[in-house]
Amino acid sequence: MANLLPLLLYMAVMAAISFYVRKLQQGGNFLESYFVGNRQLGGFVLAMTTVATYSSVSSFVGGPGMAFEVGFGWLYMAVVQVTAVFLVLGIFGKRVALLARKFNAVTVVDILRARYKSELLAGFAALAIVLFFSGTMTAQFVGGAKLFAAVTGYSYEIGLLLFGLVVVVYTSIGGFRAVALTDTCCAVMMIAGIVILLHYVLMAGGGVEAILGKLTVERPEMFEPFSGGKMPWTLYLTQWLLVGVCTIGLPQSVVRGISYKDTAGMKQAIIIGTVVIGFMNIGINFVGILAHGVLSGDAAANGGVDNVIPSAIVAAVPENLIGIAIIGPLAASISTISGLLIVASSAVVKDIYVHYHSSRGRTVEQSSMRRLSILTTALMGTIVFVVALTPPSLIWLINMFAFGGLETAFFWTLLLGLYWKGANKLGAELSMIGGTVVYCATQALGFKVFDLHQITIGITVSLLFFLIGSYFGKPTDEQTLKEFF
Amino acid sequence: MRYLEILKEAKMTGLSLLTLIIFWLLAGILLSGVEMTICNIPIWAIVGTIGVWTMAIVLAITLSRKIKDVDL
Repeated sequence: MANLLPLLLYMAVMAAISFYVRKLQQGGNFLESYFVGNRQLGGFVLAMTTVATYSSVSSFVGGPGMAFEVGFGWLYMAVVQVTAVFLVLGIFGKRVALLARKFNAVTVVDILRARYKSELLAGFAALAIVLFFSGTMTAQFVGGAKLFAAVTGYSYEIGLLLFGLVVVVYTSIGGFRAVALTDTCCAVMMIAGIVILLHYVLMAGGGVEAILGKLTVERPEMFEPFSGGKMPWTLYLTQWLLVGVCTIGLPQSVVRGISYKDTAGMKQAIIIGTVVIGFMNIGINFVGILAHGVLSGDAAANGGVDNVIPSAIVAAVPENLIGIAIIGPLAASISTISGLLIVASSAVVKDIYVHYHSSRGRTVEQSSMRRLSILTTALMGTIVFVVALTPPSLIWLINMFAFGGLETAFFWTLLLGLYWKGANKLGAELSMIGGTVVYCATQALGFKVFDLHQITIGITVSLLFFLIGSYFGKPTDEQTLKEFF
Repeated sequence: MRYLEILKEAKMTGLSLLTLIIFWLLAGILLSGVEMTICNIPIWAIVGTIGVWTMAIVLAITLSRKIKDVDL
């Protein structure tokens, strides 16, 4: 039990931050305060929360496990994620910040509603956020708890209770501001976790040259970009889309643009975020390759790809430090859960409930909104928590499916809506709904083109639908165009 | 005027992405045939990972300098 103390202490600090933030946030506009932290994030926190929400448990477990199996080709592919911060803040950061203030928007759906004047689109967008986020959150719960069980020897359920319940509680109580601050702590712990693991794996394996020298002889294909056929060009192309270019369409990243204080902070975040996300991706995947220094055989011999990093932690890190080493990967899990949970909750409370009442001329009292927001966040977190107690199979596929679904739904509606006057209501509706339906159908049927991930179909079809709809649909009214351009 | 400025900055971001993709491709394709290694790590892998990361940081710094501060 003593080796769990660092983790217990860490979770207690996360909860304490949340209670402290709640105390600070008394008064003012509750929705702005709870869902976007009163738009007061500074550069460092903005960078860290964007990186931490983006980097999930699969970045720490599944990815490095694949690097163990594939070699430097996987590392070469993982590095495309260095674009994730500068792209979303460079393209949407300032645009979304200005529009959000102009329309008093608290969510990405608020901005889409103002741009397209479509209740159908806004409703579908909120639904897509709730459904796809639920899939991703379940994957994070399951991944984190499995990692906990594999490393500590305690049960999956104890792991889930320990970090799962705490993350739901602190997100519900503290809202976005608490999420951003705890994300910052999580990102710092992720970096520390990588450094600790890298240090002990190198020590146990006898250094970089010794580990890789042995691998050069035994597994020479691990030193080739195509990894003896394990890394085809189609996979590279897919990954550039899925975890590179199209990540600008992820609502959980775009909403960060609504939440910062000033453009100086945003510019700072572009630099800090790029430095941090690059270090994390290269560092943890390099650890995956170096794990050959402490583990023998391939990934299957070590219990599968997802078990490589937990096994490496057990094999290389001294027992009294395991409680600290595990915080990094779990921090990746909880920061993604909290980031998604608060956006999913805002979709239900602000985009559906509050909008429903305000469109009928009814005002929702601040106290009611406060109760409803906290309850909704807690309820959604609890539902996902319960689902994770009996983990569905193929959970990692669900995670990737959700990622692609969000990108298909939001990429073109956001990009073209905010930068193309010709974008209109019909185009956006067809693109978001049609693209998402086609993407889900191709996933369900297992249909692929040139063996590419279905995101390529989803993103292409949603673009085509957008252009067709914009050609045949009614142009956007002059007043809206004036407000947006 | 403000929109045009933001549009220009978004285009610069797109150009930065294109630059990084080209750099990434060149690192992987042109250098994969080079035998040179550092600490047993092939040079293409070093340039294709740490090199790409460094390039991304340079682009991020350049981009943040070009983006103009505005009152929100």
